[in-house]
Amino acid sequence: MIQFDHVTQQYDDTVALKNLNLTIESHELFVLVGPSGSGKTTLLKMVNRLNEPTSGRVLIDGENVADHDLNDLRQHIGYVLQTGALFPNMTVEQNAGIELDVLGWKPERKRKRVRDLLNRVGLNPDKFCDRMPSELSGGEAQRVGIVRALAAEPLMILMDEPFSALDPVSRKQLQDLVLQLHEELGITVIFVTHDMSEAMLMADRLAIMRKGELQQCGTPAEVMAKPANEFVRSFFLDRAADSRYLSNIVDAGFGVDLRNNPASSDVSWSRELSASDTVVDLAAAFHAAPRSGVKMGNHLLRQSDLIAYLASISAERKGEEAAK
Amino acid sequence: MMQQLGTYIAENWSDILLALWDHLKISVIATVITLVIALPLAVVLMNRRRAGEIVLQIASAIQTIPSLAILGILIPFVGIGTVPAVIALVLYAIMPVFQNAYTGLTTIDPELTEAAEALGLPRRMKLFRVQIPLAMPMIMSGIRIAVVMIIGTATLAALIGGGGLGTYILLGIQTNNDAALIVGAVLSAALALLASGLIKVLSRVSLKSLGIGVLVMAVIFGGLGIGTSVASRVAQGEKTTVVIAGKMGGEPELLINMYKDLIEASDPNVAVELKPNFGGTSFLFKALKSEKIDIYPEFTGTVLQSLVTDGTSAGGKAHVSHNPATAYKDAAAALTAQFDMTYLKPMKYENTYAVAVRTADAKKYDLKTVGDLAQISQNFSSAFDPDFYQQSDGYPGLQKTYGLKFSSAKTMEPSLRYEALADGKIDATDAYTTDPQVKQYNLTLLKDTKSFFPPYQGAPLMNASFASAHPKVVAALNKLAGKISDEDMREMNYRVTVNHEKAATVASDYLSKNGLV
Repeated sequence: MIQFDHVTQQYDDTVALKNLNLTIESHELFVLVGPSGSGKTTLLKMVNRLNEPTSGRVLIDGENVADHDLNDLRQHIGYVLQTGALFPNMTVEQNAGIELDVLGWKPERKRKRVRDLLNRVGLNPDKFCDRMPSELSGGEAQRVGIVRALAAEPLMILMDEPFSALDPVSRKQLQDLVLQLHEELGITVIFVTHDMSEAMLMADRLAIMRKGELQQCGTPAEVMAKPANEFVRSFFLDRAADSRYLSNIVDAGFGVDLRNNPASSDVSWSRELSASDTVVDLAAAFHAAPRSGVKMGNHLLRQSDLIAYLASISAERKGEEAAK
Repeated sequence: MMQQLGTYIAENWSDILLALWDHLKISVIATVITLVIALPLAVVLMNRRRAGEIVLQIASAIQTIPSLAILGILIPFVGIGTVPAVIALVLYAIMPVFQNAYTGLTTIDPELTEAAEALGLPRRMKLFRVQIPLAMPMIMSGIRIAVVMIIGTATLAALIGGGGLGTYILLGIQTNNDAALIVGAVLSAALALLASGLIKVLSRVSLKSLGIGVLVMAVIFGGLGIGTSVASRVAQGEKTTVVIAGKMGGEPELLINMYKDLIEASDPNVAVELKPNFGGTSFLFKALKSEKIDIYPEFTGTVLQSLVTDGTSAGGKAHVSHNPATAYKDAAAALTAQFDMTYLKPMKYENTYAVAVRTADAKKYDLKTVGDLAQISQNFSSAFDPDFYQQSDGYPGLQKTYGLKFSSAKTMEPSLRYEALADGKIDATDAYTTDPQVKQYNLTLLKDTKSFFPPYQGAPLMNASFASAHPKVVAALNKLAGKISDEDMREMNYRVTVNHEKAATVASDYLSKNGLV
């Protein structure tokens, strides 16, 4: 459990974080989201003390990080930067294993660990171990960055806008990879992004930030169902404004058609909504009963369908904006 | 020219190799010291930007001081020889090494620095695994610039008795010996290129093996240095060593070789170490004062005109008598009084100014003295060394004293005037009495019967304490008193600087022919 306790960060005249309180549970994939200048990266870097708060405390399992030995603390917290930030003078294997050198792992054990993790992130160790970072694509470099962060079996991983520099295809693959790794390893992940659809897709819970202040914290469905204020509403829902009816979700191919799927006949649903109801109604339904489905006409919709749909329209919009 | 160069190298190759080795040694020592100072400084200051900028400014400022000035400033503190040369080289080389290392270390992509910090790398590991390797290309290019500069500038060490390839360059300039000049210049340039190439290759080598390599080199050089110094000490055994130095050029080298032969013949327990082409007058005089050397040959005229004062508190120039015997007495007395030095009896020859004409003309007009020339000077054209032409103790005074009335009197580049006289372009010029060109071009020197020119007689100069401690050395050197005529000296200078015979050979020839050893 990570607690931010009345944390304030001040640089000269500007206040980057204002008296912020936030608790992140263990094993959670927690997303900090907000526009640039919102203070989300500043907050993230307080966990491994790349930033020290002007006032307030950051606690991990009740212990103040400021009381930890700095290097020891950092060696147990994985960190993934925007571009992978691999050291250009070292091979993939050396980069991935550098933390293990610090911890004094024997070469054989280190090698095994690195090769195992490279396999897990979808890089063939025989092919990639001896490559230099300059010979990797952006996606491959970021996969190695993830291996480096995971190598020392950390308690948690901090990810600072890790996929913002990648093309859409690589980004999707890496988002799936992180979700899968989180599932398998059960490790705490704090993930920073400015992209709302990425936040929705990734988060167990998320915190929306603006100008150094926490706007709202909750599961994606909670936030979507009850935006705390106008900022959250616009940051979150405007993207979906044109296509917010449930018929749009079904038309886009999401949900399970109960007619074509005899096996799903025993699937239960807690509520039934009509085609003219909105995504907000749907989100409210999921908020009330997160685990169960919602029936709309002949289709069964789950929480994951809503999130995937919102992410897809947001990606479409980005494509349109780029085309303009 | 090529043939001359070939002969020169063939005759001097062992000395040349020695000079090359000296040059290499000075350069390596200066480079190692520079790296030991500049690299840790850059590492320490990379996180202290303000101090770093200040150091950069200071290093740049030192860079702008002319190297000769630095050498001059250093002599009173550290004396002469390799030490001030190495210090000067280090002062120059710190700037490129520091600047490149500092810039390399402070311009590393901040994302990478942050990654290293976030991984919790300990300081040392961050430095050696991340920061230094990333700054390595910059560091290496700084070292390359510094090494090339050090090897080039190390030629200046010759000016202050530091040895090295610069000795040949200076010798070449002073004695008009192109072969020596080329040997010195080409070898130092080649050495610089070689070193630069070597560093380029080394910059592709990993940090670890580079460190091992530097260590091995240091051990080899250190071992060799200690080895040779021990060996030389062992070789010398019980013997007393007397160090004799000479100014630039062939004539001083001849004289000190004679000193060596005479001293070693009279006392087998004394080993003489020669330092030919050691430097200019003031360097040698300071070296003697600080007992870095024991003896060097000096001229009476030089003592009176540039080394001693008139003895008054104002410290004006000493009066120069035109009588050679008086001049010697004045010089010896002043040296004893002002510097506690002993000036032994001079040799016969005078290396002073004279008026030269073609021997054919001298016979035709029966010219023996400058006075004879004055009688018919309206038929003669003349040209002089520009300095001689202007100084009151040069042409203007000479003209007044003897009533010379040349049909024309011009200035001319000193190196050209003998040839111009021989070719009949001019009919009279100024000359040094022992210049070998007098013989080479078959010229006649006219006698200065009115003693217009100050006397320049050579004699061994040493500290009084040395003289009283080494009576045998003094006795041996006194054998040369009153010996060696102008003619003898010209002949020997001719053999050394025109025929390129070895000074040692020519010196011992003279001594044995005259029954001095």
